Amino acid sequence: MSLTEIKKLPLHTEHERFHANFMEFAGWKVPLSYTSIVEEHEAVRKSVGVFDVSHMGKIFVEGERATDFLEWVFSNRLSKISCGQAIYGLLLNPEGGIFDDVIVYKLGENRYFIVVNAGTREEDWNWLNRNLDGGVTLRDQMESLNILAVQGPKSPEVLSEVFKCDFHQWPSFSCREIVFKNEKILIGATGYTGEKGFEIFAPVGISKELLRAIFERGASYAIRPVGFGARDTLRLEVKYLLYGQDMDAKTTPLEAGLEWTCDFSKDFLGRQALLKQKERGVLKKLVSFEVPKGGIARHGYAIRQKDQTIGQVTSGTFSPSLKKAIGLGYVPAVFSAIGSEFDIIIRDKAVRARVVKAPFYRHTV
Amino acid sequence: MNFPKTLKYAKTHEWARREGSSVVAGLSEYAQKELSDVVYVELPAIGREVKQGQPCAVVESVKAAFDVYAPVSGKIVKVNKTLEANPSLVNTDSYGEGWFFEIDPSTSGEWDSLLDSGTYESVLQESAH
Repeated sequence: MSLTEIKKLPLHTEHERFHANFMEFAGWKVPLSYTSIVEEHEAVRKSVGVFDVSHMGKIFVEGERATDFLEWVFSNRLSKISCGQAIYGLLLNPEGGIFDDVIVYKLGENRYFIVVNAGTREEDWNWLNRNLDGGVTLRDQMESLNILAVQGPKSPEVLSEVFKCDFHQWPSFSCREIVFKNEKILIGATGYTGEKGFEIFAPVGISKELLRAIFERGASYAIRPVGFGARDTLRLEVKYLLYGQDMDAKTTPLEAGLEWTCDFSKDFLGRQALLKQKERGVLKKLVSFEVPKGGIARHGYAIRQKDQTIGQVTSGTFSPSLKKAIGLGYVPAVFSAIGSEFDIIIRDKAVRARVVKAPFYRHTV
Repeated sequence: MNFPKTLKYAKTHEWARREGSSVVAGLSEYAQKELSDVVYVELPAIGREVKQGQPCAVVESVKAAFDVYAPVSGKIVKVNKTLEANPSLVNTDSYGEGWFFEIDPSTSGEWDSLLDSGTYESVLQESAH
Protein backbone atom coordinates (compact mmCIF):
# COMPACT_ATOMS: atom_id res chain seq x y z
CA MET A 1 0.00 0.00 0.00
CA SER A 2 1.43 3.36 -0.95
CA LEU A 3 1.21 6.38 1.28
CA THR A 4 -0.74 8.35 -1.28
CA GLU A 5 -3.49 5.79 -1.67
CA ILE A 6 -6.88 7.30 -0.92
CA LYS A 7 -8.78 5.26 1.61
CA LYS A 8 -12.51 4.70 1.49
CA LEU A 9 -14.73 4.78 4.55
CA PRO A 10 -16.24 1.43 5.60
CA LEU A 11 -19.69 2.83 4.73
CA HIS A 12 -18.58 4.23 1.36
CA THR A 13 -21.26 2.38 -0.62
CA GLU A 14 -23.95 3.74 1.72
CA HIS A 15 -22.75 7.28 0.88
CA GLU A 16 -22.92 6.40 -2.80
CA ARG A 17 -26.49 5.26 -2.27
CA PHE A 18 -27.16 8.73 -0.82
CA HIS A 19 -25.63 10.24 -3.99
CA ALA A 20 -22.73 11.89 -2.18
CA ASN A 21 -20.23 14.13 -3.95
CA PHE A 22 -16.88 13.09 -2.55
CA MET A 23 -13.75 15.01 -1.65
CA GLU A 24 -10.37 14.10 -0.27
CA PHE A 25 -9.61 14.84 3.35
CA ALA A 26 -6.46 13.71 5.20
CA GLY A 27 -6.01 10.78 2.82
CA TRP A 28 -9.65 9.69 2.91
CA LYS A 29 -12.39 9.86 0.34
CA VAL A 30 -15.19 11.46 2.32
CA PRO A 31 -18.60 12.93 1.43
CA LEU A 32 -18.40 16.66 0.62
CA SER A 33 -22.16 17.03 0.36
CA TYR A 34 -25.20 15.08 -0.70
CA THR A 35 -27.60 17.77 -1.86
CA SER A 36 -26.42 21.23 -0.85
CA ILE A 37 -24.09 22.44 1.89
CA VAL A 38 -26.61 25.07 3.00
CA GLU A 39 -29.49 22.58 3.21
CA GLU A 40 -27.39 20.12 5.19
CA HIS A 41 -26.17 22.91 7.47
CA GLU A 42 -29.73 23.99 8.19
CA ALA A 43 -30.85 20.43 8.85
CA VAL A 44 -28.33 20.21 11.70
CA ARG A 45 -29.19 23.65 13.10
CA LYS A 46 -32.95 23.05 12.97
CA SER A 47 -33.53 19.30 13.21
CA VAL A 48 -30.97 16.51 12.85
CA GLY A 49 -28.22 15.29 10.53
CA VAL A 50 -25.75 12.41 10.39
CA PHE A 51 -22.03 12.63 9.64
CA ASP A 52 -19.70 9.72 9.00
CA VAL A 53 -16.44 10.73 10.67
CA SER A 54 -14.88 7.28 10.75
CA HIS A 55 -11.68 8.73 9.27
CA MET A 56 -10.73 9.97 12.74
CA GLY A 57 -8.24 8.06 14.86
CA LYS A 58 -9.40 5.99 17.84
CA ILE A 59 -7.02 4.90 20.56
CA PHE A 60 -7.66 3.10 23.82
CA VAL A 61 -5.36 3.91 26.74
CA GLU A 62 -5.52 1.40 29.57
CA GLY A 63 -3.48 0.13 32.49
CA GLU A 64 -2.71 0.94 36.10
CA ARG A 65 -0.75 4.07 35.14
CA ALA A 66 -3.08 5.26 32.36
CA THR A 67 -4.27 8.32 34.29
CA ASP A 68 -0.75 9.42 35.21
CA PHE A 69 0.38 8.96 31.64
CA LEU A 70 -2.46 11.01 30.18
CA GLU A 71 -2.10 13.75 32.78
CA TRP A 72 1.46 14.19 31.47
CA VAL A 73 0.76 14.20 27.70
CA PHE A 74 -2.68 15.87 27.75
CA SER A 75 -3.11 19.57 28.58
CA ASN A 76 -6.45 19.45 30.38
CA ARG A 77 -6.96 17.99 33.83
CA LEU A 78 -8.42 14.50 33.81
CA SER A 79 -9.26 14.57 37.49
CA LYS A 80 -11.90 17.18 36.56
CA ILE A 81 -13.98 14.38 35.07
CA SER A 82 -15.45 11.14 36.38
CA CYS A 83 -16.12 7.85 34.64
CA GLY A 84 -18.78 8.45 31.99
CA GLN A 85 -17.49 11.89 31.08
CA ALA A 86 -15.35 13.28 28.30
CA ILE A 87 -13.01 16.25 28.07
CA TYR A 88 -11.46 18.29 25.26
CA GLY A 89 -7.79 19.18 25.34
CA LEU A 90 -4.47 19.21 23.55
CA LEU A 91 -1.36 17.15 23.04
CA LEU A 92 1.54 19.58 23.18
CA ASN A 93 5.19 19.29 22.23
CA PRO A 94 7.89 20.41 24.71
CA GLU A 95 7.91 23.88 23.07
CA GLY A 96 4.21 24.25 23.82
CA GLY A 97 3.22 23.81 20.16
CA ILE A 98 -0.04 22.02 19.47
CA PHE A 99 0.59 18.46 18.35
CA ASP A 100 -3.11 17.64 18.13
CA ASP A 101 -6.47 18.46 19.66
CA VAL A 102 -8.34 15.48 21.02
CA ILE A 103 -11.30 14.36 23.10
CA VAL A 104 -10.61 11.93 25.93
CA TYR A 105 -13.50 9.74 27.11
CA LYS A 106 -13.17 8.26 30.56
CA LEU A 107 -14.67 4.78 30.44
CA GLY A 108 -13.48 3.51 33.80
CA GLU A 109 -10.70 3.92 36.33
CA ASN A 110 -7.53 3.90 34.22
CA ARG A 111 -9.53 3.14 31.08
CA TYR A 112 -9.70 5.87 28.45
CA PHE A 113 -10.64 6.27 24.81
CA ILE A 114 -9.10 9.07 22.74
CA VAL A 115 -10.36 10.40 19.42
CA VAL A 116 -7.62 12.10 17.42
CA ASN A 117 -7.45 13.87 14.07
CA ALA A 118 -7.03 11.77 10.92
CA GLY A 119 -4.12 13.81 9.60
CA THR A 120 -2.09 13.44 12.80
CA ARG A 121 -3.13 9.92 13.77
CA GLU A 122 0.14 8.20 12.91
CA GLU A 123 2.27 10.90 14.49
CA ASP A 124 0.08 10.85 17.60
CA TRP A 125 0.41 7.10 17.82
CA ASN A 126 4.21 7.25 17.57
CA TRP A 127 4.37 10.21 19.92
CA LEU A 128 2.24 8.51 22.57
CA ASN A 129 4.35 5.36 22.28
CA ARG A 130 7.59 7.34 22.62
CA ASN A 131 6.34 8.92 25.84
CA LEU A 132 5.16 5.64 27.25
CA ASP A 133 6.67 3.93 30.22
CA GLY A 134 5.38 0.92 32.15
CA GLY A 135 1.83 0.26 33.26
CA VAL A 136 0.06 1.61 30.19
CA THR A 137 -1.23 -0.18 27.09
CA LEU A 138 -2.21 1.61 23.90
CA ARG A 139 -4.61 0.02 21.45
CA ASP A 140 -5.25 1.46 18.00
CA GLN A 141 -8.86 0.79 16.96
CA MET A 142 -8.69 2.59 13.62
CA GLU A 143 -9.91 -0.30 11.50
CA SER A 144 -12.44 -1.82 13.86
CA LEU A 145 -14.57 1.16 14.91
CA ASN A 146 -16.83 3.41 12.90
CA ILE A 147 -17.94 6.88 14.02
CA LEU A 148 -21.36 8.28 13.23
CA ALA A 149 -22.09 11.76 14.55
CA VAL A 150 -25.81 12.41 14.99
CA GLN A 151 -26.15 16.14 15.52
CA GLY A 152 -28.95 18.66 15.93
CA PRO A 153 -31.78 19.58 18.32
CA LYS A 154 -33.74 16.45 17.36
CA SER A 155 -30.83 14.06 17.88
CA PRO A 156 -31.99 12.95 21.37
CA GLU A 157 -35.40 11.99 19.93
CA VAL A 158 -33.87 9.93 17.16
CA LEU A 159 -31.38 8.10 19.36
CA SER A 160 -33.94 7.47 22.09
CA GLU A 161 -35.99 5.59 19.50
CA VAL A 162 -33.03 3.75 17.98
CA PHE A 163 -31.61 2.53 21.30
CA LYS A 164 -34.85 2.38 23.32
CA CYS A 165 -33.50 4.49 26.15
CA ASP A 166 -33.74 8.18 27.01
CA PHE A 167 -31.12 10.47 25.50
CA HIS A 168 -32.76 13.76 26.51
CA GLN A 169 -31.08 13.99 29.89
CA TRP A 170 -27.53 13.32 28.73
CA PRO A 171 -25.35 16.22 29.79
CA SER A 172 -22.96 17.62 27.22
CA PHE A 173 -19.64 15.71 27.28
CA SER A 174 -21.06 12.67 29.03
CA CYS A 175 -20.46 9.21 27.59
CA ARG A 176 -21.79 5.73 28.07
CA GLU A 177 -21.27 2.22 26.75
CA ILE A 178 -24.43 0.48 25.62
CA VAL A 179 -25.27 -2.76 23.84
CA PHE A 180 -26.75 -2.74 20.33
CA LYS A 181 -27.26 -5.93 18.30
CA ASN A 182 -25.22 -7.82 20.90
CA GLU A 183 -22.24 -5.53 20.40
CA LYS A 184 -20.84 -3.02 22.83
CA ILE A 185 -20.84 0.52 21.47
CA LEU A 186 -19.69 3.78 23.00
CA ILE A 187 -21.76 6.94 22.72
CA GLY A 188 -20.53 10.38 23.69
CA ALA A 189 -22.58 13.58 23.92
CA THR A 190 -19.91 15.32 21.87
CA GLY A 191 -19.67 16.83 18.41
CA TYR A 192 -18.27 19.49 16.13
CA THR A 193 -21.36 21.52 15.31
CA GLY A 194 -22.32 23.58 18.38
CA GLU A 195 -25.64 21.76 18.56
CA LYS A 196 -26.89 19.12 20.91
CA GLY A 197 -25.54 15.89 19.49
CA PHE A 198 -23.90 12.53 19.89
CA GLU A 199 -21.00 10.61 18.48
CA ILE A 200 -21.45 6.86 18.22
CA PHE A 201 -18.41 4.59 18.17
CA ALA A 202 -19.58 1.21 16.91
CA PRO A 203 -17.88 -1.90 15.54
CA VAL A 204 -17.61 -1.67 11.75
CA GLY A 205 -19.54 -4.96 11.44
CA ILE A 206 -22.79 -3.44 12.70
CA SER A 207 -22.36 0.09 11.42
CA LYS A 208 -24.45 -0.33 8.30
CA GLU A 209 -27.30 -1.73 10.34
CA LEU A 210 -26.91 1.13 12.80
CA LEU A 211 -26.88 3.75 10.06
CA ARG A 212 -30.05 2.33 8.55
CA ALA A 213 -31.78 2.19 11.94
CA ILE A 214 -30.89 5.87 12.51
CA PHE A 215 -32.32 6.89 9.15
CA GLU A 216 -35.44 4.80 9.65
CA ARG A 217 -36.12 6.37 13.07
CA GLY A 218 -35.03 9.79 11.90
CA ALA A 219 -37.34 9.90 8.89
CA SER A 220 -40.09 11.69 10.81
CA TYR A 221 -37.56 14.42 11.74
CA ALA A 222 -36.42 14.79 8.11
CA ILE A 223 -33.01 13.44 9.09
CA ARG A 224 -30.39 13.72 6.36
CA PRO A 225 -26.79 12.78 5.70
CA VAL A 226 -24.41 15.72 6.11
CA GLY A 227 -21.06 16.07 4.39
CA PHE A 228 -17.75 17.70 5.20
CA GLY A 229 -18.81 20.93 3.51
CA ALA A 230 -21.48 21.60 6.15
CA ARG A 231 -19.24 20.15 8.84
CA ASP A 232 -16.85 23.01 8.12
CA THR A 233 -19.49 25.77 8.09
CA LEU A 234 -21.12 24.42 11.27
CA ARG A 235 -17.87 24.19 13.23
CA LEU A 236 -16.64 27.59 12.04
CA GLU A 237 -19.85 29.37 13.10
CA VAL A 238 -19.21 28.23 16.66
CA LYS A 239 -15.43 28.77 16.40
CA TYR A 240 -14.33 25.19 16.83
CA LEU A 241 -10.81 25.16 15.45
CA LEU A 242 -9.64 22.83 12.71
CA TYR A 243 -6.30 21.18 13.33
CA GLY A 244 -3.74 21.80 10.58
CA GLN A 245 -5.51 24.98 9.57
CA ASP A 246 -6.35 27.09 12.63
CA MET A 247 -3.60 25.53 14.74
CA ASP A 248 -0.55 23.34 14.28
CA ALA A 249 2.74 22.42 15.93
CA LYS A 250 3.99 25.98 15.39
CA THR A 251 1.16 27.59 17.33
CA THR A 252 0.58 27.47 21.05
CA PRO A 253 -2.71 27.31 22.93
CA LEU A 254 -2.10 30.86 24.16
CA GLU A 255 -1.99 32.11 20.57
CA ALA A 256 -4.91 29.96 19.44
CA GLY A 257 -7.20 31.09 22.26
CA LEU A 258 -7.15 27.62 23.82
CA GLU A 259 -5.61 28.50 27.17
CA TRP A 260 -8.82 27.23 28.81
CA THR A 261 -7.83 23.71 27.77
CA CYS A 262 -4.56 23.91 29.72
CA ASP A 263 -4.63 23.24 33.44
CA PHE A 264 -1.54 24.95 34.82
CA SER A 265 -2.19 23.56 38.29
CA LYS A 266 -0.80 20.19 37.14
CA ASP A 267 2.41 19.33 35.33
CA PHE A 268 2.10 18.48 31.65
CA LEU A 269 4.26 18.32 28.59
CA GLY A 270 4.72 21.84 27.19
CA ARG A 271 3.69 23.57 30.42
CA GLN A 272 7.10 25.17 31.09
CA ALA A 273 7.25 26.67 27.60
CA LEU A 274 3.71 28.00 27.93
CA LEU A 275 4.43 29.60 31.29
CA LYS A 276 7.40 31.38 29.73
CA GLN A 277 5.27 32.56 26.84
CA LYS A 278 2.59 33.76 29.24
CA GLU A 279 5.17 35.86 31.00
CA ARG A 280 6.57 37.34 27.79
CA GLY A 281 3.15 37.77 26.20
CA VAL A 282 2.05 36.38 22.85
CA LEU A 283 3.00 38.08 19.59
CA LYS A 284 0.20 36.70 17.41
CA LYS A 285 -3.37 35.82 18.20
CA LEU A 286 -6.17 34.00 16.47
CA VAL A 287 -9.03 36.40 15.81
CA SER A 288 -12.58 35.93 14.61
CA PHE A 289 -13.61 38.35 11.91
CA GLU A 290 -16.48 39.12 9.62
CA VAL A 291 -16.35 40.60 6.14
CA PRO A 292 -19.40 42.85 5.72
CA LYS A 293 -19.08 43.10 1.92
CA GLY A 294 -16.78 42.35 -0.98
CA GLY A 295 -16.63 38.58 -1.08
CA ILE A 296 -15.64 35.65 1.07
CA ALA A 297 -12.26 35.47 2.79
CA ARG A 298 -10.86 31.96 2.45
CA HIS A 299 -8.03 29.88 3.85
CA GLY A 300 -4.64 31.31 2.90
CA TYR A 301 -5.75 34.84 1.97
CA ALA A 302 -3.45 37.60 3.20
CA ILE A 303 -4.43 39.98 5.99
CA ARG A 304 -3.06 43.49 5.60
CA GLN A 305 -2.87 46.68 7.58
CA LYS A 306 -2.06 49.65 5.33
CA ASP A 307 0.39 48.11 2.87
CA GLN A 308 1.82 45.54 5.21
CA THR A 309 0.92 41.90 5.36
CA ILE A 310 0.24 41.21 9.03
CA GLY A 311 -1.28 37.76 8.88
CA GLN A 312 -3.24 35.12 7.08
CA VAL A 313 -6.77 33.75 7.03
CA THR A 314 -6.76 30.21 8.43
CA SER A 315 -10.45 29.44 7.88
CA GLY A 316 -13.09 31.40 6.07
CA THR A 317 -16.50 30.74 4.66
CA PHE A 318 -19.97 32.07 4.13
CA SER A 319 -22.03 31.49 7.25
CA PRO A 320 -25.35 29.93 6.24
CA SER A 321 -26.91 30.83 9.61
CA LEU A 322 -25.79 34.46 9.67
CA LYS A 323 -25.79 35.00 5.90
CA LYS A 324 -22.42 36.70 5.88
CA ALA A 325 -18.74 36.00 5.37
CA ILE A 326 -16.89 34.96 8.51
CA GLY A 327 -13.44 33.64 9.28
CA LEU A 328 -10.46 33.13 11.53
CA GLY A 329 -6.87 34.26 11.15
CA TYR A 330 -3.70 35.08 13.00
CA VAL A 331 -2.70 38.72 13.41
CA PRO A 332 -0.23 40.53 15.70
CA ALA A 333 -1.73 40.83 19.18
CA VAL A 334 -2.02 44.63 18.82
CA PHE A 335 -4.64 44.18 16.10
CA SER A 336 -6.64 41.51 17.91
CA ALA A 337 -9.07 43.60 19.97
CA ILE A 338 -12.80 43.28 19.24
CA GLY A 339 -13.71 46.04 16.79
CA SER A 340 -10.25 46.26 15.20
CA GLU A 341 -10.30 46.47 11.44
CA PHE A 342 -7.92 45.27 8.76
CA ASP A 343 -7.94 44.41 5.07
CA ILE A 344 -8.17 40.96 3.57
CA ILE A 345 -6.93 40.55 0.03
CA ILE A 346 -9.69 38.93 -2.01
CA ARG A 347 -8.82 38.56 -5.72
CA ASP A 348 -6.19 41.33 -5.52
CA LYS A 349 -8.62 43.72 -3.87
CA ALA A 350 -8.39 44.96 -0.29
CA VAL A 351 -11.67 44.21 1.46
CA ARG A 352 -12.41 45.49 4.96
CA ALA A 353 -12.83 42.97 7.78
CA ARG A 354 -13.70 43.56 11.44
CA VAL A 355 -12.73 41.58 14.52
CA VAL A 356 -15.85 40.31 16.27
CA LYS A 357 -16.69 38.33 19.34
CA ALA A 358 -16.89 34.57 18.93
CA PRO A 359 -18.71 32.28 18.62
CA PHE A 360 -20.31 33.87 15.59
CA TYR A 361 -23.40 31.78 16.15
CA ARG A 362 -24.92 30.45 19.34
CA HIS A 363 -27.81 28.05 19.53
CA THR A 364 -30.89 29.61 21.08
CA VAL A 365 -33.74 27.48 22.27
CA MET B 1 -30.31 18.31 -16.91
CA ASN B 2 -31.86 21.00 -18.99
CA PHE B 3 -29.85 22.75 -21.76
CA PRO B 4 -32.28 24.82 -23.82
CA LYS B 5 -31.77 24.42 -27.57
CA THR B 6 -32.34 28.14 -28.08
CA LEU B 7 -29.07 28.94 -26.28
CA LYS B 8 -25.41 28.54 -27.17
CA TYR B 9 -22.80 27.33 -24.69
CA ALA B 10 -19.11 27.73 -23.91
CA LYS B 11 -16.92 24.84 -22.76
CA THR B 12 -16.41 26.83 -19.54
CA HIS B 13 -20.17 26.37 -18.83
CA GLU B 14 -21.59 29.78 -19.69
CA TRP B 15 -24.72 30.03 -21.82
CA ALA B 16 -25.25 32.84 -24.33
CA ARG B 17 -28.37 34.24 -25.96
CA ARG B 18 -28.72 36.84 -28.69
CA GLU B 19 -30.95 39.76 -27.82
CA GLY B 20 -31.09 42.22 -30.70
CA SER B 21 -27.48 43.01 -31.43
CA SER B 22 -26.19 42.06 -27.97
CA VAL B 23 -25.40 38.79 -26.24
CA VAL B 24 -26.76 37.93 -22.80
CA ALA B 25 -24.80 35.41 -20.71
CA GLY B 26 -25.19 33.31 -17.59
CA LEU B 27 -24.18 29.96 -16.14
CA SER B 28 -25.46 26.61 -17.39
CA GLU B 29 -27.48 24.29 -15.24
CA TYR B 30 -24.47 21.99 -15.04
CA ALA B 31 -22.30 24.82 -13.62
CA GLN B 32 -25.04 25.87 -11.25
CA LYS B 33 -25.40 22.35 -9.90
CA GLU B 34 -21.65 21.87 -9.56
CA LEU B 35 -21.35 25.13 -7.61
CA SER B 36 -24.47 24.63 -5.49
CA ASP B 37 -25.39 27.32 -2.93
CA VAL B 38 -24.22 30.46 -4.76
CA VAL B 39 -23.73 33.10 -2.07
CA TYR B 40 -21.82 35.91 -3.77
CA VAL B 41 -21.51 37.35 -7.25
CA GLU B 42 -19.07 39.96 -8.52
CA LEU B 43 -20.13 41.59 -11.79
CA PRO B 44 -18.01 43.47 -14.33
CA ALA B 45 -18.23 47.25 -14.61
CA ILE B 46 -20.48 48.59 -17.35
CA GLY B 47 -18.38 49.75 -20.26
CA ARG B 48 -15.60 47.26 -19.61
CA GLU B 49 -14.08 45.64 -22.69
CA VAL B 50 -13.99 41.87 -22.34
CA LYS B 51 -12.38 39.17 -24.46
CA GLN B 52 -13.86 35.81 -25.36
CA GLY B 53 -12.68 33.15 -22.92
CA GLN B 54 -11.32 35.66 -20.39
CA PRO B 55 -12.67 35.86 -16.84
CA CYS B 56 -14.99 38.82 -16.35
CA ALA B 57 -17.16 37.95 -13.34
CA VAL B 58 -16.81 35.90 -10.17
CA VAL B 59 -19.26 33.57 -8.53
CA GLU B 60 -18.73 32.19 -5.03
CA SER B 61 -20.47 29.23 -3.52
CA VAL B 62 -20.10 28.18 0.10
CA LYS B 63 -17.19 25.95 -0.84
CA ALA B 64 -15.13 28.08 -3.29
CA ALA B 65 -14.82 30.97 -5.74
CA PHE B 66 -15.01 30.50 -9.54
CA ASP B 67 -14.49 32.71 -12.57
CA VAL B 68 -17.18 33.37 -15.13
CA TYR B 69 -15.80 33.79 -18.67
CA ALA B 70 -16.99 36.05 -21.45
CA PRO B 71 -18.60 33.91 -24.17
CA VAL B 72 -17.81 36.56 -26.80
CA SER B 73 -15.59 39.65 -26.96
CA GLY B 74 -17.08 43.10 -26.69
CA LYS B 75 -18.22 45.75 -24.29
CA ILE B 76 -20.32 45.13 -21.18
CA VAL B 77 -23.54 47.09 -21.63
CA LYS B 78 -25.73 45.70 -18.83
CA VAL B 79 -25.26 43.68 -15.67
CA ASN B 80 -27.82 41.90 -13.52
CA LYS B 81 -27.60 43.97 -10.32
CA THR B 82 -30.31 41.82 -8.73
CA LEU B 83 -27.73 39.04 -8.35
CA GLU B 84 -25.72 41.08 -5.88
CA ALA B 85 -28.61 41.11 -3.43
CA ASN B 86 -29.98 37.73 -4.42
CA PRO B 87 -27.15 35.49 -5.64
CA SER B 88 -29.21 32.31 -5.20
CA LEU B 89 -31.04 33.20 -8.43
CA VAL B 90 -28.06 31.58 -10.15
CA ASN B 91 -29.24 28.30 -8.63
CA THR B 92 -32.98 28.74 -8.85
CA ASP B 93 -33.30 30.30 -12.32
CA SER B 94 -29.98 29.96 -14.12
CA TYR B 95 -31.38 30.60 -17.62
CA GLY B 96 -33.74 33.41 -16.60
CA GLU B 97 -33.43 35.77 -13.63
CA GLY B 98 -29.98 34.33 -12.96
CA TRP B 99 -28.36 35.98 -16.04
CA PHE B 100 -25.03 37.77 -15.39
CA PHE B 101 -24.28 40.37 -18.05
CA GLU B 102 -24.98 41.61 -21.56
CA ILE B 103 -22.21 42.18 -24.08
CA ASP B 104 -22.21 44.34 -27.17
CA PRO B 105 -20.04 42.09 -29.35
CA SER B 106 -17.03 43.59 -31.12
CA THR B 107 -16.91 40.88 -33.81
CA SER B 108 -19.54 38.63 -35.32
CA GLY B 109 -17.52 35.46 -35.92
CA GLU B 110 -17.23 34.39 -32.25
CA TRP B 111 -20.91 33.55 -31.90
CA ASP B 112 -20.49 30.65 -34.32
CA SER B 113 -17.62 29.23 -32.30
CA LEU B 114 -19.98 28.63 -29.36
CA LEU B 115 -21.49 25.16 -28.90
CA ASP B 116 -25.08 24.20 -29.53
CA SER B 117 -26.86 22.37 -26.71
CA GLY B 118 -26.22 18.89 -28.17
CA THR B 119 -22.49 19.47 -28.58
CA TYR B 120 -22.25 21.00 -25.11
CA GLU B 121 -23.95 17.96 -23.61
CA SER B 122 -21.55 15.60 -25.35
CA VAL B 123 -18.62 17.68 -24.06
CA LEU B 124 -20.01 17.23 -20.55
CA GLN B 125 -20.38 13.50 -21.06
CA GLU B 126 -16.81 13.18 -22.32
CA SER B 127 -15.39 15.06 -19.35
CA ALA B 128 -17.37 12.82 -16.98
CA HIS B 129 -15.31 9.81 -18.17
